[in-house]
Amino acid sequence: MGSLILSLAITAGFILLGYFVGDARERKHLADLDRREAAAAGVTVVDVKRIPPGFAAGGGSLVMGEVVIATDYFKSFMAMLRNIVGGEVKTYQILLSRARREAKLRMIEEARALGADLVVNVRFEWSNVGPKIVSTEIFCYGTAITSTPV
Amino acid sequence: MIIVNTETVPGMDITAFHGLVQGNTIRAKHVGRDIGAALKNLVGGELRAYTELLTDARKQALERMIAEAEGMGANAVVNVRFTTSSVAGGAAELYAYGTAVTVA
Repeated sequence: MGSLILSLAITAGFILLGYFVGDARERKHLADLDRREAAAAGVTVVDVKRIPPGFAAGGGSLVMGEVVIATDYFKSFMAMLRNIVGGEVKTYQILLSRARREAKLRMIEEARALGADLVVNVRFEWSNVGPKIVSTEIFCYGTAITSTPV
Repeated sequence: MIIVNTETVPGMDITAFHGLVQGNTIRAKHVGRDIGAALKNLVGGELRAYTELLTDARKQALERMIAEAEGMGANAVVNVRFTTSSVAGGAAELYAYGTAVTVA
């Protein structure tokens, strides 16, 4: 009986930790993404292979961005509850969108460092080689178009 | 060496095709990373050790692909693709491939 109460107390503690700390960390990351996306607005990103009209192409270079993000205990607990009744798992939707935005931003930042203002043929990939926890691995890549060969 | 994932190098012409080139690497994670990941799973956030592991492995796979292209006398690799796979024992494979060409 005592050990059951203890394990319930630990689980409740983890849920509270996830709720308060996890939520604050997520909001901080989202604010950071908003700020960096505004700064990266000058770079055009497309998933078509050809160069859009109005851009001069003198060369190209592969640019990549990658991120592995874990969710918090509260959100995995909520997703577990959601599994019982079905429906959209909003907490994981935010997790995946954060990972895609972060990976894409890292790719754009690499393109900007090369002096490019256009990235074509952008692809997103997902891998599953990391730890066996609730996390997501997103890889984003494309070809940064430069006015001269890199 | 020009590396792109488009079928041609924008603004340049392909003068010769040398064939498929590839590079791979298989990385094992160490226990410390998994312990760190389990702790990070409580509060959420980026698993930097894993991001670095994947990024370094991807770079190495690319370098091996580039070395093969250089051996063929190519000056560019076009249409580059990546895949990852999980091997037994928790090891991860990163694989990069593309077509070695000469551009001018």
